[in-house]
Amino acid sequence: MENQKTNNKESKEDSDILVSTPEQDELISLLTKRFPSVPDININHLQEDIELIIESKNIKSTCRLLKDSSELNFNYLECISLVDYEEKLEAVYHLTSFKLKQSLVIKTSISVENPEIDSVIDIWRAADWFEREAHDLFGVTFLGHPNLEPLLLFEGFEGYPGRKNFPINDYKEW
Amino acid sequence: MEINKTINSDNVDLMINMGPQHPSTHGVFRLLLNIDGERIIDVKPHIGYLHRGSEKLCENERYAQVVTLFDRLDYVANLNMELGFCLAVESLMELDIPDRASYIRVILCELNRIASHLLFYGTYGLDVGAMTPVLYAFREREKIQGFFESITGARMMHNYFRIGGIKEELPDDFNNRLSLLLDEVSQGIEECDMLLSKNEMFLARTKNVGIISASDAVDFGVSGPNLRASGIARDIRVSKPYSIYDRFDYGIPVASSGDCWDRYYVRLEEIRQSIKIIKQAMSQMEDGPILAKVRRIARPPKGEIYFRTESPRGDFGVYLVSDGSDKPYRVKVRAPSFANLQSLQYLLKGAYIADAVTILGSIDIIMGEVDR
Amino acid sequence: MIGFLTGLFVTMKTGFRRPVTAQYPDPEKRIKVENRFMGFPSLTWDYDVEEPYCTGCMVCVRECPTECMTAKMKDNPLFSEGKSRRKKIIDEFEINLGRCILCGICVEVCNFDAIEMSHEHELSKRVRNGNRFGLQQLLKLGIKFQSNTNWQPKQPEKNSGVPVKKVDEE
Repeated sequence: MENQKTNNKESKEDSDILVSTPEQDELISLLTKRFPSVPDININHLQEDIELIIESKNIKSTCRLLKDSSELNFNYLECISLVDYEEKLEAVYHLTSFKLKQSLVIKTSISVENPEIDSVIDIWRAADWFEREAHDLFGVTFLGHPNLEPLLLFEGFEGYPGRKNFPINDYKEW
Repeated sequence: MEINKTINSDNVDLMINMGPQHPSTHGVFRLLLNIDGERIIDVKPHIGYLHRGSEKLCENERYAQVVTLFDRLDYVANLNMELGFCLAVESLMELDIPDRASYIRVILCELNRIASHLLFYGTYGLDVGAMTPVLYAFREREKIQGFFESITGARMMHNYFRIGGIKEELPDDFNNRLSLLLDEVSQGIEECDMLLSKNEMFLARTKNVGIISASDAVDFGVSGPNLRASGIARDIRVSKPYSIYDRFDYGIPVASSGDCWDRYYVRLEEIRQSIKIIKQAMSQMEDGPILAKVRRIARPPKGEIYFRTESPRGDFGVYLVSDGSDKPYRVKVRAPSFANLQSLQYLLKGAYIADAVTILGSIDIIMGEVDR
Repeated sequence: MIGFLTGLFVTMKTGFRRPVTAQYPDPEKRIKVENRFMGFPSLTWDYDVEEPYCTGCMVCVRECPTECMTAKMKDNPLFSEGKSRRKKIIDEFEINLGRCILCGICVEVCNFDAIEMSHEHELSKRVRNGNRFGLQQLLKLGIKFQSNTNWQPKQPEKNSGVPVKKVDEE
């Protein structure tokens, strides 16, 4: 948890443009309490989820803290999505806390040259297949994942079809 | 992966390959079972036989065309899939949907939920060795599909929901046919219930088989009826109402023990609740426009959204990233079956091999959604 | 035992019902499709001027999610003779019905009422690519659909090919 402090960006929750509900304020205050130097907090006004933008090396410690702290208790991992922005890959974790009845989005960017990130499988077992799928389609290596065999693609498939530079094949008549 | 069920396995083992073309795998799903005597000691699920790259294909299609791809994810609850995508795009565009369109959507989606659960009921009967229930379930499901055909023009791949509303106005005899259908279906459900639920052989096959505790279920990301069978009353329709689900009065069936019978019965009970929703929606529905004012080619603004809906199988999430063009930049589907199926590794460990199909059937997977 | 007997009671009760099944291949006994049923797409025929409604504007070709169509337009000979209002007319049209997913998007985007989902749904063929339907086959499907369902164009005034109106204006 000490490596949270390395990231000293201004937290955004004071800015005027963000409109938040009382529940969100409560979650933000809890988050700021937990992460004294909050990396970056965003509110996506469309989906009412709070976004937490962190560095990829902090992913495991942050997730551990989010799940284990008794007042946050984000016990439900909904989804791990990867988005290819060409200059970087972005991993998006959607979490839900049954206790707070709130959802949280964790975003972190992964470099394209060296796509590696810590696995969160020790924290939520749900991460297993989501990470394998991301490994399949985007070539991201999840460090600490015990079994990164191809899940959706067959063994020996070359390339990462989720990425933008993978061509969508034109259909040929035969 | 650590699975905290300890099995004594001194001498191993026989490996059994089940699938991908096994009659009770509900699609093309392959299981490698390591067995020791009658006990399963290790499970290796193989999926991906139906991987079509839907998410990648979405990036190359316009928003209106993507709806057709979503039809083919969960191919027994097509309208629920369409609803998830349309609502995601609509909330990205911050569109207001006309009331009538929302009501029609809800009615059709709940009907589709009934059809989907009826399919589960029938095939689950087959999975545990009862031949008759599938005939009863399909009789009712057939009526619903025929009804869909009269509205959307297709029995399964409807492509009926549009971004901003629905495709066309309902036929004139809609109300009469629907109330007739509901009477028939609710009668049929009672018959189905009488036929199987309390049958002693069925109880013996399913009670206390494949138990998953609430905390384990949550940890595995299980959702929908499977999670509710373990005792957690989580339903997106109630906890985070989308569309117009906050206008209805209905219950969420919750069971406690999390075994196969509970998973089965929660679904049967959900059918009754869906009928309740449809009846309320029918009485509340008024005339009005069915399509919001949208341009023919939808161009949502730059942004992203993760939209959750409750599909018959659980939390259906659509993560949509838009770059402002007429095609989505990235579509990620959080398929409920995908997460539910992960728990199979846990459920099957230590179970009898005879129960493997019972447990797999009770999870109610649809491979189109798992593999995408 | 009680559960078993109630189940048996349900089964027996069903014995006194009328059957809900239909005999599929028998044309008399099968279930009729609904009015809105979307079968394979077909091209409609304008009986007023004896030509297809389709002008080959390509909008369906562009909107098709599976890219299963190709079309080519030509100058309408009937237009130069003054018999039709359509300047351009379809020359070649091909739909690979094996690839069509019956979504109905082509019908929705068509401005000329030229394409319609027919009630045809049984198209198994013995040869590969036997379902690549050309213009004549599609029109045949359409004419069958039109006569079976008494089809009328949705925008009859706009899409009629009868040149009378235009002559009046000029």
